[in-house]
Amino acid sequence: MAVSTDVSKAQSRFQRITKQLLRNRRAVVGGIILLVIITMAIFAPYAATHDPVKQNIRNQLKPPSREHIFGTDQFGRDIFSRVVYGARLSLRVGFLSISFALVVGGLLGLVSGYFGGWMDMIIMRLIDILLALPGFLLALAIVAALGPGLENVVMAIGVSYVPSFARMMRSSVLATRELDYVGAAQALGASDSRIIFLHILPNSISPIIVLTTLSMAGAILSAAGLSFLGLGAQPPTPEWGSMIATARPFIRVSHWSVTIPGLAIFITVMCLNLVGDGLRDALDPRLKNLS
Amino acid sequence: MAGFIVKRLTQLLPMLLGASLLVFAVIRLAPGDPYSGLIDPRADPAKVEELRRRHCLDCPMPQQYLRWLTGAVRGDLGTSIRFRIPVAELIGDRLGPSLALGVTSESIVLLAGIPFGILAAVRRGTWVDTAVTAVALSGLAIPAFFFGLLLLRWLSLGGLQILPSAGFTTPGSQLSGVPLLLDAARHLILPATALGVTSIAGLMSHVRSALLEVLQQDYSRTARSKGLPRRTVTFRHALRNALIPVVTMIGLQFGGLMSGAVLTETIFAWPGIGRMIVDAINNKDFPLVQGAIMTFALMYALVNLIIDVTYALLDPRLRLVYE
Repeated sequence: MAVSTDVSKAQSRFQRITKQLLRNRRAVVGGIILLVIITMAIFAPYAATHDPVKQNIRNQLKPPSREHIFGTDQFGRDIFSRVVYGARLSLRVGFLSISFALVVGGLLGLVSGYFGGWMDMIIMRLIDILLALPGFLLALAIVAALGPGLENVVMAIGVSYVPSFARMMRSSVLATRELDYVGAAQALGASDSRIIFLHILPNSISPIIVLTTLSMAGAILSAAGLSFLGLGAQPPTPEWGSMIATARPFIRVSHWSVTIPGLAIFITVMCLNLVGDGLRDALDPRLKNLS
Repeated sequence: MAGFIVKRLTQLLPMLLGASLLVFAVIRLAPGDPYSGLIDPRADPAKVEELRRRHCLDCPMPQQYLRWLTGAVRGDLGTSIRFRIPVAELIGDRLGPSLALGVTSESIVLLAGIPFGILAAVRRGTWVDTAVTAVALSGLAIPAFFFGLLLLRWLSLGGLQILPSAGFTTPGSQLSGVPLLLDAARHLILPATALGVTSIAGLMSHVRSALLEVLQQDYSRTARSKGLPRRTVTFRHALRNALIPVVTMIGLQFGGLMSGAVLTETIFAWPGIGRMIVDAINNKDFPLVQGAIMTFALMYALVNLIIDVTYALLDPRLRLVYE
């Protein structure tokens, strides 16, 4: 009986949030564009009009035309096709690195907040050490040590986002742990893992969802920055940041090969931010009347 | 207040220790040691061993760390592998340009961020608010290095061509005094703007929502209903309280500014620490990478300390927590 009311309550909350989200015009627009970008990334071989790495020296640095809608780069490669394939990489890096941060940081925060005591002490001091450097610099140092490459970038950015997830999870758990229903569950003799995963986790999840979305935007920006510095994807991989870096010397002759991948990063990050902001407003009604 | 400052100062030491541990550990994750990539394969292996021993590269990790740390405390950050000059000296040379860029950028951030944030809040719901919000959303999404390249392309290399594209001053110029300062200022505008774009956007929307929140508080309404003009309520009552959290925001953004410096200095060939880190990474000059990142960590810690103290000065409630 208790279970069925639980489910219906969860659904009504979910419905309320969805409704709230759909009423937010910015979030809806951002979400739709994001879906288009994701679809293009998944179906890149069909969406692309040309081979993203095939060079054509006789056709280099051309402005947009009927044949190449975004023009061509310094090797005569089709910029549109490269940007489409680049979406795969950027989205994958954002997704993987934040998944890492979410799992590792989330678990650390959960353990730290729920058990407290010396575990909390040790975990939070470790997090403090990670926070001694600004996130991007930490990622930069890690990539410098591991060597260039997209996998290392994922790892580095993932680690640099662990502190924010751990801290948010911890404070969220601390707030939830004091509630009566957790005490009731404990009194009934429920195990720690049952309480954590069945009672605490579902009720501290909304700030985490918002943080995940917004962090993904940040991770894509950081990854592009690292690739721009030559520490991420290596040429001829069509990664947005490294496309900008390799086209940079030709910016005066033809800016398209810099502008288009730059806009691709800009639009993707903007959409993720809009959806994240929308989620925050929908999940946390206190902030609603301010925007 | 003194108690607060002392307490906060004692937190600085473990934080810096942590940072040094982190920087050291991360750099030593690298396969091989600082010399493995640089050694001539024809070199005498005995000589290589001797070099390793001299630099204590065969010592156990904790011993290496202590060696580096005791040196760092005395200002000795080791010797750059590439330049064969003390790391501290190289950093010292680059500190001036980095600080000039950072201070200019932060000034632009404050001068643009706060007034436009206030304007948007005061004119809430009008086209001004919409425009400021749109600019803020864009600024938060645009990669600063891409924005820098756009500025470069349209204001320096092509388009208007009104500002210099690279460097700290015009190379080979014999300027001195005021003309030299003006020349340096012209070189500062583009990189400082590019560096600040994310922070400007963040600050604008932060000031806007902070001010809106305070204007909804009871004491703002009371001030309005006792007949004070809107302007007085906004600037005398609301703004003061709204700007307190902005101090924290500026501290948080400082980290972003340092991260951005790495990219911005690279684009504008700025002779600062950020570009030096990138060059050092590409040259596998690990003592230099270590030293430069440690310098950033120190600056980061100090700025956050100053911010916390300022915050406590502005908001007596925080002081009470500590005393």
